[in-house]
Amino acid sequence: MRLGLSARLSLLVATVLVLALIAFAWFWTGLRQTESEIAQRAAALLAERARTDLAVRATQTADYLGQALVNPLFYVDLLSIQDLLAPVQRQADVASVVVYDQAGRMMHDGSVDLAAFGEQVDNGLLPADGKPVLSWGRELLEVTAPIRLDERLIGAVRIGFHLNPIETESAAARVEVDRQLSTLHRRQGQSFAALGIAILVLGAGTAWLIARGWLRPIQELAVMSRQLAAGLYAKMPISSKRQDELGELVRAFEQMSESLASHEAAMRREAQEDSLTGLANRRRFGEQLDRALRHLAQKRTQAALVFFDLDAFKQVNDALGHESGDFLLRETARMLSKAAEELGLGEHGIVARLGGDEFLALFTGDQAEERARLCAERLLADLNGMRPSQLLARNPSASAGMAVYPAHGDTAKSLLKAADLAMYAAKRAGGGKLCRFEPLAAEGDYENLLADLTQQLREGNAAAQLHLLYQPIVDLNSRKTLGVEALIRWHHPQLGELPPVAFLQPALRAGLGIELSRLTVKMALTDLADWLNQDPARFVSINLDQASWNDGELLTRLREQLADAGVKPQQLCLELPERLYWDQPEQSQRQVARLRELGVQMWLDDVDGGAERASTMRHFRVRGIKLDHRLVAGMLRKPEDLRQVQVLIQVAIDAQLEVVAEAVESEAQVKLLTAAGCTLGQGFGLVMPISAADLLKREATDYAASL
Amino acid sequence: MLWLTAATAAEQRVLVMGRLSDDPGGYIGRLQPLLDYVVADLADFGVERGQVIMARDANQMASYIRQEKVDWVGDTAAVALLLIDRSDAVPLAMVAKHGSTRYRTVLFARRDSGIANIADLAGKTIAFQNSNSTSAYYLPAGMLLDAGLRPAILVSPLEKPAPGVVGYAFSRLEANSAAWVHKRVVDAAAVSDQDWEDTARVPDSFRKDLRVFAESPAVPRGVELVRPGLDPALRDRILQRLLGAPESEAGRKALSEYFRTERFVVPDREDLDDLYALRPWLRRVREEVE
Repeated sequence: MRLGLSARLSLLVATVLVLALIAFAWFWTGLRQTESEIAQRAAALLAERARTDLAVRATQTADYLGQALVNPLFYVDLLSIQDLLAPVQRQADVASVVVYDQAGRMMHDGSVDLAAFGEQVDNGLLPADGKPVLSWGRELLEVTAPIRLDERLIGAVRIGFHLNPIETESAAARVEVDRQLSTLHRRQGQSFAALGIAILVLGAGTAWLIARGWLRPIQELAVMSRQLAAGLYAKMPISSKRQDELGELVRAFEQMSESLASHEAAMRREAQEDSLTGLANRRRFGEQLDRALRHLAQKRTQAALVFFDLDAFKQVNDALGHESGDFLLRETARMLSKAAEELGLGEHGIVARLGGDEFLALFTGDQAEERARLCAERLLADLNGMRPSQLLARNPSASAGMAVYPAHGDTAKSLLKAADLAMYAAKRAGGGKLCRFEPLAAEGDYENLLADLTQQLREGNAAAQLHLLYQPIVDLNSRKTLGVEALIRWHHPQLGELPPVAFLQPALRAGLGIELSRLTVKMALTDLADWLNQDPARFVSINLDQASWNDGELLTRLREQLADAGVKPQQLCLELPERLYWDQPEQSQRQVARLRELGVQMWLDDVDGGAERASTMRHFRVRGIKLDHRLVAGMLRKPEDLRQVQVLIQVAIDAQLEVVAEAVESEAQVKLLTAAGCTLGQGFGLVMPISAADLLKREATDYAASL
Repeated sequence: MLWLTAATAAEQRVLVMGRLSDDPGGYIGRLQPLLDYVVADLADFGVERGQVIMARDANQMASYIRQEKVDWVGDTAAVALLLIDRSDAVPLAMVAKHGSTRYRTVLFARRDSGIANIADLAGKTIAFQNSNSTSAYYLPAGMLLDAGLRPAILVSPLEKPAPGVVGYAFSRLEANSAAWVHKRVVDAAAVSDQDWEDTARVPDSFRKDLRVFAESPAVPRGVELVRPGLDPALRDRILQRLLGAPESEAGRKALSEYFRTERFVVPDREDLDDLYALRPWLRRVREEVE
């Protein structure tokens, strides 16, 4: 049976109380016994004392009579004798007084008649040494004193004292002592009862105090713990002013609670905030937009959404470095926030960074569109007012697209898409301006864009506008480039350099995936044939989309392209997102096997799975895995990410797979990765993506340096 | 101490009564009431209070009288006679009890003693009271002498007398005498007829075993004397006061305290003759016994 603290405490208190009561009872019994013995002894002592007193009195009386009776006896002055005996006889406990002569003849017995005068007295001897003699009988004390005329004994006086008065007095004393003792006992009993009750009350009080002072806070702490576990960071309901250990515990608990609360708040903030600019992130913006739209629908209020995208931000990054890029992003965020605040965002308005160089601003309430327009214009002007860099030909600028609720869209998705399209319209128009969404035109533009791309691809002219950049994959220790990942770019004749996000997903959705990958493989093999042939260990890695992965002619086509380019299959790697692999594991496994048969190698891309999946990694039969950039980015800040990275690396090593860390941006990451056993990495922190021509030049430099 | 005749008028304040006694504590209570009763009538003589003086024997008292330390003395006939002879004290009044100013001595013995008359006392023992007693010493001793017996004092009443001699011992009190006889300590005893009749002295339980076997002639019972030279007027006033005592409650009470005296009478010729007639007895006892 489990005993709680309360139960144990109650048991302890009860035990102590019972022991105390037993001790009381024992003490009480002992006391009674002692008192009874004392009473007995007192009575005995009293009797003894009375006997002693009697003996003294008897001796003194007899002695006195012995002296006083000398002359009366000598002269046989019976009347004088009688006068002397009378006061003695009158004493209550005197049984008899007898005066007799030296021959033992009775001379006087105190009576008037003297009936026994002259008769022989029993044992009428004279005390041999001339002193009073005591004779204790059962009922009488007899004292015999000599009567001396000078040295001559002329007779003796004998007094008999009753002993029963002593017995009676002793018994009476005993009765009185017992009576007083019983009074005392009654008082003692009352005192003991009071004491017992006091102890009971004290025990109960102590138990209550302990329960109240110690157990209840503990129980409350337990309740609080459960609340904390459930994520309820309520204020601690118990006092923490106590100075004892429990107080420390409560305070520690409070600290823990506060720490957890602030930690969670930080996490929440992190989850909803853009760490670079402090603006709301995409997720929070999405939530806020949803809330705002629900509210606006009820209130029939207007809203305006502005989508900003910095123009040629990539060039800033490339030319001035990430720090400058980050600075520009932070400045943009600051200026946007300032302008939006000054103009007023409205009740549900919000400013956010969507990621990369994209920003959003939502205005609600009256004249939302006007405020949005003013805000956009001010930001564009502010950007334009920034000092141009030496390395950049022109001032920073941005393209802004605005969509109005509910005219341009009554859902978050449609509104965002409208703003997005408007922004692209601005970009197509040369950037640095604000475009209001024009429904028909936008659709047309977008469609046109895709149609354009499709057209280019179909006409085989895509290669003219599409080109590849190569992200080197290096040995983290030697920093030597072992391979590259091909990254597609579109240089639009009118729009300029378009990032993959601008066209890739729409293109894939439009079913251009297979064509794009075919083209990419072809371009890459063409670009890098020489570079690859210089070192058979080098490889080029190309991303596959779902359509290509499922394409039945993938192998055939690859075989042809490899042959055409004169590149060994081993030097071609395909990167397949892990999630695609798991969409159809068996089919994926068969495809991997076929590719291996061909000689083409596979990387599992964006691997961030848990150990559960990692444990099955050895069955993938791939060359290796590429750690998801989010994990790599998070491992410096989040212990769980670091832990995950370490686990994945260890599992991969155990499965004899290579590991590439993506998006490595700092030396700190390199240290952690190499310490965990990761040997390969890619990212801005190592080498920036470069063109094929630059790659070849770089290799030449590296080669020279190695000599 | 002041007494009347030896002091000035201004100092004449105390009337002194004398008495022979070996028990002053026991006697004072008997004397003082009568003295106070008398003094109460002597204010015009400048007498304010009365005082009692005790003496062990007649010679001492006679000396007090001669020195005028005592104004008034009362006692039995034998002592009174001695004081008259030795200090010229003057008889003032006679004590009367039971209607008589006379009493006598009785001699008694146990009925089973075989003593039937005085002569039987030869070789026996007899108890007297004390040597000042008229009825229990002088008279019986005189009777023994008259009977031709030879009294001889004993060291202890238990002692046996020489053959032919009558051994006597003083018992101090009449009651002792009766007890002695009854308890066969002595063979006989002498007491006044008044004491014989007194159950306090002779308990009935004794008396039934006792028998009187001789009596003396009647003699004056008690005599009040005053010292010679006392102011006659004062003397007369004292006498009148004594004589008048039975007529008042206070007087009767004082008389009763005074040895249960019934009254006082003025001694006549016969009284004085009877008193003086004792002189030869006394002389013979003193000469032949003591």
